[in-house]
Amino acid sequence: MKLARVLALAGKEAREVRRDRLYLLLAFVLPLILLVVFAYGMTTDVEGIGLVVIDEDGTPASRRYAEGFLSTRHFVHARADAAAARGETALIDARARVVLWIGPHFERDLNAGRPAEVLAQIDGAFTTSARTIHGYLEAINAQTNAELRTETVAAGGARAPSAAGVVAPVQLQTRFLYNPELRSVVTVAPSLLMLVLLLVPPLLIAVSVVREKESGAIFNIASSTVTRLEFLLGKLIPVVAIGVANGLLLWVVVIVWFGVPFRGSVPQFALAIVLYVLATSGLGLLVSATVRTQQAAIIITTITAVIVAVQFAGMFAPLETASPVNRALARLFPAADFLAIVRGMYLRGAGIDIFWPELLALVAYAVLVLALAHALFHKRTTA
Amino acid sequence: MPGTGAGVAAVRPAAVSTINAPVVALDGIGKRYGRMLAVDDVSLKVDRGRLYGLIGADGAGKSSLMKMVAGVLAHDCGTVEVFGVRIDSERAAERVKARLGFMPQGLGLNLYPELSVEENIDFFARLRQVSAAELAPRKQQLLEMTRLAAFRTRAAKNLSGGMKQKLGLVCTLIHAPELIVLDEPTTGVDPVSRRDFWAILAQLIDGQRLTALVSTAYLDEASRFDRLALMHVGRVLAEGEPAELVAAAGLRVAQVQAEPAALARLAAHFAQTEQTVGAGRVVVTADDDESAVAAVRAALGSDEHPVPKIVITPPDLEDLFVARLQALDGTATIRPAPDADGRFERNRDQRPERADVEASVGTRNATPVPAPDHNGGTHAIDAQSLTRDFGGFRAVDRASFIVRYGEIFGLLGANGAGKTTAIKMLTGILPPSAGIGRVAGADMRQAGQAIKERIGYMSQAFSLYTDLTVMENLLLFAGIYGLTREQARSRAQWAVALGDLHGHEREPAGRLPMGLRQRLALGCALLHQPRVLFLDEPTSGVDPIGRRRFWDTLRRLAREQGVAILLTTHYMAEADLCDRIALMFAGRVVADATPTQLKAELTAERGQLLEVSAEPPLAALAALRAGGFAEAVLHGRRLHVLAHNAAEAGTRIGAALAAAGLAAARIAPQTLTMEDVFIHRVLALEAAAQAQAAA
Repeated sequence: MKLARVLALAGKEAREVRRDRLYLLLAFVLPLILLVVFAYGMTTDVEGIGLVVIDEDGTPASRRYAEGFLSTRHFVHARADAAAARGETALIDARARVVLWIGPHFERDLNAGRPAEVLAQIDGAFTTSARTIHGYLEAINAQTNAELRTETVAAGGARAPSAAGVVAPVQLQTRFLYNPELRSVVTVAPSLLMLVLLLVPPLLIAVSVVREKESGAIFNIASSTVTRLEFLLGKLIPVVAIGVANGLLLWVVVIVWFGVPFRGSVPQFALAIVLYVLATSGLGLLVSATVRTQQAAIIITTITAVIVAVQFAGMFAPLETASPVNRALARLFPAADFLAIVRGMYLRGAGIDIFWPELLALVAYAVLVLALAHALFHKRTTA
Repeated sequence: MPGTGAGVAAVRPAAVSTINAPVVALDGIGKRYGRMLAVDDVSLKVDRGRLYGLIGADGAGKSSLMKMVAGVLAHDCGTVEVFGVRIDSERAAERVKARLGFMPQGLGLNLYPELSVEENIDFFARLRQVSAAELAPRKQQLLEMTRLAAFRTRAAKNLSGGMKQKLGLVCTLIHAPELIVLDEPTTGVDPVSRRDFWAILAQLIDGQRLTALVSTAYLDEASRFDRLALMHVGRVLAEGEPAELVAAAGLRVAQVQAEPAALARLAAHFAQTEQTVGAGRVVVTADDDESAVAAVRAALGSDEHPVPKIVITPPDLEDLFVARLQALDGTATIRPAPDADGRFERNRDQRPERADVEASVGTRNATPVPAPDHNGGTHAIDAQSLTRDFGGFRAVDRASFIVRYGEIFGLLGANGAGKTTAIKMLTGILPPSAGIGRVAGADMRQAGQAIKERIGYMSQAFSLYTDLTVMENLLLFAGIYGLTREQARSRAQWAVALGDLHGHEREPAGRLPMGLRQRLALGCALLHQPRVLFLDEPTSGVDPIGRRRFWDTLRRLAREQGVAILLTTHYMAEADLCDRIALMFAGRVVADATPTQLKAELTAERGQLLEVSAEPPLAALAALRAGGFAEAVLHGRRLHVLAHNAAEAGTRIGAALAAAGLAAARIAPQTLTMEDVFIHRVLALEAAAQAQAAA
């Protein structure tokens, strides 16, 4: 291997990248767009959901009950006329996602010790958020019930603190560690690093190789004394540099823009990014060794990245809960290992002492994929 | 050295083997892509210091063959030896790559568009590990030779086609290879740049003991090669030195002046015939001039009055190629186009050449019959000071010309002269910045859909759907033009008959040979019976028979149906077939006349054409230029000179050669071709433009 030739190839590549506006856009703007769009798009938080209250009772008790929902950050009051039919209209035209109907004898029933009836209608078109909304409604309702019971017991003579003890003898105190407010962006944004770096470097490298196949410039290499390894390194160096730069940029954006705390070690994290980008770029080289057109390269790299990220990386559910087949498939890609490292470092501040198996897996993966690409790439082809 | 293993070749004493052994030796090689046989049992040898040509149309197998020699494509069978090394593996191929240079097909496509001229060269040099000390003088020399030195900092994407091709050559040569393999370096390049390119190549081969394997689709370039192979669908039809091939072919060309009826009888007899007003040109199988004359007389009949005048000349390579193709394929005769109703004038089953070729004669250069258009005028196209600006660049500059119904009008010019832009304005694709273009009587700026129904357009790029069959393409285009189902079916049948596409109706268009594709594309452009037809480089990459048949179809459309045809071409032989020519230069129309007039003008201005044969040609060229023939040009291995007084010029040429210590030359007067006209015109205009820029 001649270093001079690798440098000539890498230098040429860098020049082309600098002067090609579309490629620059693809290399530096696309990752940011992907991060921001997906981070907001994948958020499962339920906040500011429109709630219509149809209060047919109109008593202090019913108002207090409704206030229990509207005083949280999860719901906002959506105006609608006090008619049941109108409430549903609000659901249909999507001004609200929940209609809370409080019956005409709410206060009377409460005072009489009869169960007071309340109806909540939830827009079920979005199953996940509907389920979450249901959870909030139940919790807030339970909270109100507990308060009411406490009042009843207290009214019966017991002092307030002990009344609470009578009503709920066991009090469960929950603390969510690392993400105390359970903001979903805290988990989504770092995992997008995994997705973006699985998509962009392979796309860049596959396009740059296949573009030369299409134009015939690849024959400049094939008919010269440049070795296969030199050629692949010449393509790899600029793309890995771009990929790592992207990774670090996104790392900062996740911290600064999305306010996700980073508790790990920066050099260790940089090392993980380098290894991961090497591995994913290797995937791009593999694709480019097997296809002839840029369209095919773009479609294959994009679809692979999205499927792997969504299905086989543990982005939405931990991999331990996946089927054995899916877990085996996940092992074919470096995404799961990197995601484990990313989440661990951002939120838990875990270090190399914990993640060395994942880092080793990334090393092995990079070596294997690059060796395979080298074996598949030929200067003298059969077609 | 067949049978010698690569390992043995390596230990052979280099001094002996490299001087006598051929640089390239192919023996019985074959290459298949899936079911398609691309190269079929090809054997040939390229000797050191030679310019070897591979000539053939698209799909002849030239590219595959060259890639196998360059070590970038594996062959299926046979042996490939380069520099005595048998190329049978990727590893073996690597051993010769330091000594060869390969330029793939596609004008400048292998260059890096974002890099400048100098950056491209430097990149190739670094890849090839050329030392700085070697690089500097070599780069300088090559840049000067190609006249690119002034454009060092220009990005490759902003170069003209001719400049890209020269830069490609420089990059291929930067490591001083012993063998260069150039795949169609002149395709799509204008004649001036082409001639320039061949001159540079001749200079390099002469000066550096370089060996070159070069392919081309232009048959008129064949005479430039030391040795050549004519290829057709994967096979070599003929191989040898051009002069030797022509001499051994057993063909003569007879130029006959006779009554039209007599000429028609000739056409019935000979497979290759072309007819002009009162004269015919036939290719005769004969070993000497006397028997050729006898054969022509026999065909004419003995009772001909007045006695026809017959002049016998040697055939050119195209005549030879066409004869071989016809021998190979009995169907390769030219067929008549159907009339407007889709019927043939003759019974199609009346197979052999006689009837078919009789109809094919056409009436070359016969006066076109003007047909009135809807408004009663005879001007199909009337361009008045058409102008188009792109930013600060004026692509077309006050171009004016007229095309009549029934006329074939050729728009010629170098790459970037404004031909395609002019066509786009006349077809309503691009609005003009100034001036008026009237087509079929309507101003194209205001003309709506109605006028577009009266014109047909066949663009440079292949515009058919390759995955659809021939019939599906035709019906689709008929639908686009809004024909009824019945009209569509009958017009599709007409187009099938016109393009002689019978038997191919169900074949995907992508699998047709180039010649058939072009005829299908023409059929599609004619489905709605347009009165005006625009063709942008319609015959690029088509084999000679395909081209002749295409032209035959065009002539019938013009003569019998009065269609006005405007076309562009880089084949100067085709320019000769046009009724009228407009030559464009830097966006302006600088000449507008018939080919005969243009040639007569050049003769009147500069004299007649003399072809000088002298060895070695480059030294002779230098001697002639030094001896007062500044405009002498290299044409293959011969030199072309224009002179008013042939006898006086002959003496001066002899003196100039003698002064340089060269042997006396053979000087023969030649008829001017459109290529000569084109080159002299453009060179004069370039010189004038430079003088103006300098002033």
